[in-house]
Amino acid sequence: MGPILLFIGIIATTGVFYPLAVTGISWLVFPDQANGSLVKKDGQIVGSELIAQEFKDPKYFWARPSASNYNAIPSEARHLSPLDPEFPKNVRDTMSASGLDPHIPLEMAYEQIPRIAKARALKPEQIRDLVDKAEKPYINVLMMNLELDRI
Amino acid sequence: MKSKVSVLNASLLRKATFEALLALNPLRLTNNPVILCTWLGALIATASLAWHFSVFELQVVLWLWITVFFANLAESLATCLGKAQVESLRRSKISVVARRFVNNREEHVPANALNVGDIVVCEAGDYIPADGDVVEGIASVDESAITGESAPVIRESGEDRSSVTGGTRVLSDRLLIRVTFESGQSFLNRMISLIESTKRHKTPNEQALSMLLIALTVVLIVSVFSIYVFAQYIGLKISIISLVALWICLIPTTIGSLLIAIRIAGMDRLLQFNVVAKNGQAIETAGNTSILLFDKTGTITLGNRMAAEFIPCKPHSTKELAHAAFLASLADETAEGRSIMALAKEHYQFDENSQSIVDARFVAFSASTRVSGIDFPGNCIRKGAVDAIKAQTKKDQFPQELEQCITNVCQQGGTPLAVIKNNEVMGIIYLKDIIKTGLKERFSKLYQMGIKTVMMTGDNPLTAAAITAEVGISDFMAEATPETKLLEIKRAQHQGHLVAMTGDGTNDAPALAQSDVGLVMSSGTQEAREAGYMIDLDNDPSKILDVITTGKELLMTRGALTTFSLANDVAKYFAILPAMFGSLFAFNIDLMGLGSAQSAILSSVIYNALIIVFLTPLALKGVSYKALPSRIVLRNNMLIYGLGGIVAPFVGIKLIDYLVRHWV
Amino acid sequence: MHLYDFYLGAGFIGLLATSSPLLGAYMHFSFNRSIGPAEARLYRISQLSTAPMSWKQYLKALLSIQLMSLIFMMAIFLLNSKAPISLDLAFNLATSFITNTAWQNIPGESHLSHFSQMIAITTQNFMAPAVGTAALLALTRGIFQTDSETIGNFWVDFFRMIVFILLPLSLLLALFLVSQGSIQNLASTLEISTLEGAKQILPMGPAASQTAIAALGGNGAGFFSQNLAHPFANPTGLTNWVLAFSVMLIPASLAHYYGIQIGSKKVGWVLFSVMLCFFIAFFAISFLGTQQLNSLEGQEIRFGNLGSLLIAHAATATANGTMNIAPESLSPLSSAVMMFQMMLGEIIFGGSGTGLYGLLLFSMLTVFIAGLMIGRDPEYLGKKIQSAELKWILFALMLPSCVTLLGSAYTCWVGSTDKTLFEILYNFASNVGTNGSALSGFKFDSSSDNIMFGVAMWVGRLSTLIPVLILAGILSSKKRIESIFEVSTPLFGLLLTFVILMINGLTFLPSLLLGPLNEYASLLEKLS
Repeated sequence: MGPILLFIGIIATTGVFYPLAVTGISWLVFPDQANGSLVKKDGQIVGSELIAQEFKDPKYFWARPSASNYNAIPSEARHLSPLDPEFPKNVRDTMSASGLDPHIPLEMAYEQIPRIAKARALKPEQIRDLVDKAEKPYINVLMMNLELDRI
Repeated sequence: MKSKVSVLNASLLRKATFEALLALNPLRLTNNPVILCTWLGALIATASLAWHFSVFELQVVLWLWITVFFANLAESLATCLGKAQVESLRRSKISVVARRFVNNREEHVPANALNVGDIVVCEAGDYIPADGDVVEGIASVDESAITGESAPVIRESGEDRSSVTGGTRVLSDRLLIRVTFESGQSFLNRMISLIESTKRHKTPNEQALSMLLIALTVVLIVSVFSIYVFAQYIGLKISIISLVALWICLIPTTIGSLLIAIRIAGMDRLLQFNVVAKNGQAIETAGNTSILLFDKTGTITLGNRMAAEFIPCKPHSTKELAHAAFLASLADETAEGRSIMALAKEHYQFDENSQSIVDARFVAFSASTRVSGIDFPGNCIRKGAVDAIKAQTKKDQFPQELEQCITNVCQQGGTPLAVIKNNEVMGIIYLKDIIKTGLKERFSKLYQMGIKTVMMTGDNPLTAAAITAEVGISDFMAEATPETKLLEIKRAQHQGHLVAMTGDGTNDAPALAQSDVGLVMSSGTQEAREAGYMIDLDNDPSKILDVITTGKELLMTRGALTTFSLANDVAKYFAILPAMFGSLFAFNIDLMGLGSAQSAILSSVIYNALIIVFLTPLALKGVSYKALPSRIVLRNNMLIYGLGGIVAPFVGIKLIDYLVRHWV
Repeated sequence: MHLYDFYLGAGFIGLLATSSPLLGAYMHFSFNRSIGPAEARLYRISQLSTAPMSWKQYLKALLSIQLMSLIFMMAIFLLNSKAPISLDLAFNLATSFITNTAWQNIPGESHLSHFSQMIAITTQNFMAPAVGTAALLALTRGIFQTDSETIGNFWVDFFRMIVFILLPLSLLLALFLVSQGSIQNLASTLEISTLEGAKQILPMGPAASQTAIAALGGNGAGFFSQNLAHPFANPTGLTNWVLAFSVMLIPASLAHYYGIQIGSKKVGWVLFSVMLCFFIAFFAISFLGTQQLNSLEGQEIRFGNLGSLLIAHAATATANGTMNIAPESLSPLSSAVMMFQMMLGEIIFGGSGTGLYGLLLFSMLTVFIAGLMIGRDPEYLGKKIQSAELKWILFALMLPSCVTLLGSAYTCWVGSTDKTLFEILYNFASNVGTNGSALSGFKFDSSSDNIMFGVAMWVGRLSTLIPVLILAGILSSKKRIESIFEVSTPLFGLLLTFVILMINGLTFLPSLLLGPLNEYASLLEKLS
């Protein structure tokens, strides 16, 4: 009987109290992050800063290809082995581990600038400045696209 | 007196070879699972010849059988050497001559021919040939060689004081003794047969090591079997013979075949020191000793103390003191007594025959008064231990000036004897212990080994401290009694020490039995010999050092060869795996640059067989132990046997590969 | 490799080396403090005696927790409302979490309700490491106690590990993760329309709390099936480094706890250094592999090259098994190293408690082999290593290896041709090693596989746990002899390293050659 009581006690502490405590504190202190770092445009939720979404429109930066087709829920994708003949050589063809990588490397961003510039009738330099402003070796696709829309 | 038997003895080798061939019978390999597995491997390989026959495969099979043979050879060689050793020991044993009393007639027989129940005669000056009971007569007996008590004891027929011990000496009078215990050769024979039987038993450490070897063998069976399956799965063909070769090369055949040889050789090395161990475990335990207890007498000092100086007290002169001491010792047959007389004679030319003493009555030493002396009209001279004399004189009569002298004597490691004449203190005699030569080196060696040495003595603490300081002993137990010795051992053991002890007297028996390693002198009493684990046939207590060293060497040899054997596997992998899997890889993975896949496998198998032969002498001789801190010993051995074990097969296999390619 | 990466790596190791002794000291304090009134009341309410136990009682208590967990978790899974789970799958899943493997045969976020995740998985993330640590504490007592019939009280050890160590650390880590963007809420899912107007369903739930304890406790059970690759679990480069650190923190600190407990901090440092050297060396080899391949396939950009590999390594060196990349897309050299880390028995930091006790078993084996060479019977810290001890040491060290090899051989024999030998080996090593790292999204679907791998996990777990407790009992009752063989020197560290490599190299090198190294050779050929 004793062990069972201890077992129940520990389940209550670690399985109920602990996650609820973290949830509660997060709700008070980090409400945005705890709920998925959602991004709004014109008051409308357009996605999460952290989750990649599919872009096909030439006026947007495109994310890395997704093995799970940008499906944020089950994503049982098998990745290619380096021995596979189809193993991608270019960054733009590589799939991320999660299939939800919100970022692309600068290299891949630069590649897309001419297309975007053409679609938006902007000077490529303008877009390039935007990309370089990030000062990171990669950019967040969704956030960058929102910036593009703001121009 | 080391009696060494040469390894290079043709008849011995022949005999060993024959034994090794006999041991190819698997039923005789059951006590050595690793070699039994090798045997099995060789059998499987032989059977596989039926399916697939080539010269290469035949060679591998042959070398596998040679491996089994070499493994057996190491063991049979050790056994044969051991037997030769025991034989030579039997022959070289010198025995005491006993005067056996049969049908009222005396006959001279060697002590070892005595049987229990025989009656022997011992007169003044004779050594008592065996343990026994006095059936007739009364005599003083010098038991100092055994008990360390320098004063003689009285032995007489009757109940309390009738027991005498082999190896002690009668000082006066005549005794008839009934032998109660066999001695000498028959005892030795019993010991030797004990050796033969203990040689067959694995020591606990060996059992554990065998367990490791078996575990490795089993894991490697699994590993080699899985290689076979995996290779099939990926479509690689691997022949049975190369799998067997890989398996035999990887299992610890080297140490597996030498393990028994190491044990037997270790026990034989001890025999070379004329020390008989009652079981193999005792030798290994000796290697673990961290505290060594021993008697002062016999180990540090020669059996008897000698008079070195007369120290008179006013108003007496040195000559007067010497004369009184001389007279008091006239009837004293002990070594001490005679040394007093010798000293007096040397300085003042006294002559015992010219002393005009009439009506003299000698007072013998007794344990209760602990004094001896002489009474003749008008004179009463006594000599004895200072506190005993003090007890006889009135308190204030003992001169103060002597106290300082007494302390000085003690601090020099000597023993003071006081002399009184007619209740007047004449002075003291300085009895000096004769310290054996070469002890300092031996004790500093023990110290380096990390062994704490404790001297047990009946002396007072001052004397004991002086001797320990002089010889370099770590500690002492003054005024020791059998009880305190036993307590000391128990205390040390409780602190986690393994205690070795040398002893010989009956009163040492409880302590010897309690100790972890008891080395008993063969001259010791029967009780002591039964209590000890090892018996020294030469009666040299300082030999415990050799025993400890031998124990350490035995363990080190086992560890070194195990390490070497395991380390060898690295190179064997480098040689065999590329040979087996090479075809899978697009580029050459044979980092050793061996001739071909076949010669790589063959060379490894040959190396694996030959290394046993190369290491057999080391297994028999033992890895030598130098008294260095354990950290250094470990580092050195690791470099030689660990690193050496990794490098040696690379060189060996490469060399054999070269020979195989060019000559075969 | 950039200089920047080098500084980052050095800083990471520096932080580990400075913080783990502190946590080790805190552990020593927590595990040894006398029972306070509040704690005492808890035991009284639960009707548990806090008296020291013999190894049999300790084992019984430990197994009772394992059994209750098994029944409880299977019940939760079978009652799980979100998706049906069969009995054999429930057995496999429950086993996987209880044995600290966390081999997730189903994607958690789509199959399990938040309730199931919290009450079944999060709780086991706490309990499994506490069980392993308790066994380590028992073994430690066996080593430093003399002439004792007992090895401590399981309930106290178990309780303290959870409440004093795991709970506060996970709270801190979880809040940190949330601050960086990890989600923590009770919502089910969120449907949004993307910038281009497509529909996207975002998963929601208490992810941060589970991610934190999964990393710290070594269970590695991700809230999401992509585990630490999922941006909601591991949102930034910084969280990636912090999570890698958390994965290694407790196992590293336990080495220092051990040193303090036996009265020689140096021994703790030697063990820590051995683990660290292995880790760095293996990481370097692995990193070389990724540099050769130079591809982002299966990697997240925010982690960077070094960070991506770091968690993969930390998780296979420890028994964590969590993953932030797709290991099948790594160079076979890297994944071979990861597999070898698991085959070593997860002693390079290893699981909570389980890693260190594995290393202690190897220490004793090293002492046994090398100790003879100083001319004395082998002793580890004054406890003689004889047949009785060696038997269990060998059993615990070698049985898992044999099961891994035989299991893989069986799978090959039966012949499932769609998997490479490397995949089969990797996944067996992961299951038997109770790691949970999976290669190629290796899933098994048949109920016989569920049962076989379930049994493999139990064997992997219990075949070391039980011998360790028996060993604790034997050692505890032994008297201590004066210790001469030094286990606090660099030389011993070196010997230990060699023995580990020898024993496992002997066992696994041929398989490594036939499996991953063979693939690596093909890759080199393809690249050149």
